[in-house]
Amino acid sequence: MTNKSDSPFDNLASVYDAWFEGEGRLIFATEVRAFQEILTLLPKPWLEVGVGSGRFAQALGIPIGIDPSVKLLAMARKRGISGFLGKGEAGFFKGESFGTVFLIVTICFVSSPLAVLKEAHRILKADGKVVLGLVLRESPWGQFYQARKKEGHPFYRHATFYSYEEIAKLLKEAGFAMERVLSTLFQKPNQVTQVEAPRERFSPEAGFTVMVAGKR
Amino acid sequence: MDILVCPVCKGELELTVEEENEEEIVTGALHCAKCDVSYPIEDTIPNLLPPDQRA
Repeated sequence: MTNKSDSPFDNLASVYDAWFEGEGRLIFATEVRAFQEILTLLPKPWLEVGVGSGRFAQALGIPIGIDPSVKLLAMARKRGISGFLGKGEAGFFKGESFGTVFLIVTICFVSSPLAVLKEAHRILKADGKVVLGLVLRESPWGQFYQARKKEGHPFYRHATFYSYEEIAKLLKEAGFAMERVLSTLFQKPNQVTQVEAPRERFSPEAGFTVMVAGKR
Repeated sequence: MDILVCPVCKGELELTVEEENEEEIVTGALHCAKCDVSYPIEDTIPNLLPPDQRA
């Protein structure tokens, strides 16, 4: 018997993973650069929910990940990540097991962001942090991807993009207090020519937003 | 494996190992006695999708 999953990413795993070294290379490097700004502040152990093929986990040093796509998890394993087939809404870790839970371009693909955030809250230690990496709806990139979604893009047709205010409200409802926000990717879609350094605070002009929230 | 619980009831899971190497469990299962459900471990990846969400 072989593990099976019904993730839409299973059939497009190679296409998804190739983006990080192809057209997404500078975007990915810019996003990693933003996370590197905060890594030393984050308590361990670390978990990534929605680890995919392990690109971010490998770059940031996150050793464990969960994902509903078995094909992406197999790729993550080759990058040294311990993977679990599962969904963020139906968590399977004991309470207070982790210091930090990363959700990187994951909230837009889950069926219930609030349930995922509440589950992250349950498995975090008392001083734990949740770290979100998001393309927000109001940003130029959010609008770009929403247009792709309407065209039936193989990945983005499954995505729901949220505004900064909506995410802030979800975090509060799940029991988190926002501690820090970084904005990056101010270059516009199809015009990325270099790796950017992040800026402090939320900006609706940023294509990628990193939020750090602490467990209340 | 000792930090895992059942994704449905959050109860304890009992581990059965069929094949392992020096680093990890290759094949096996995690069983929830309360739900009477087994979660397989295949190719080193534990499948903890709730039973109604498995393909």
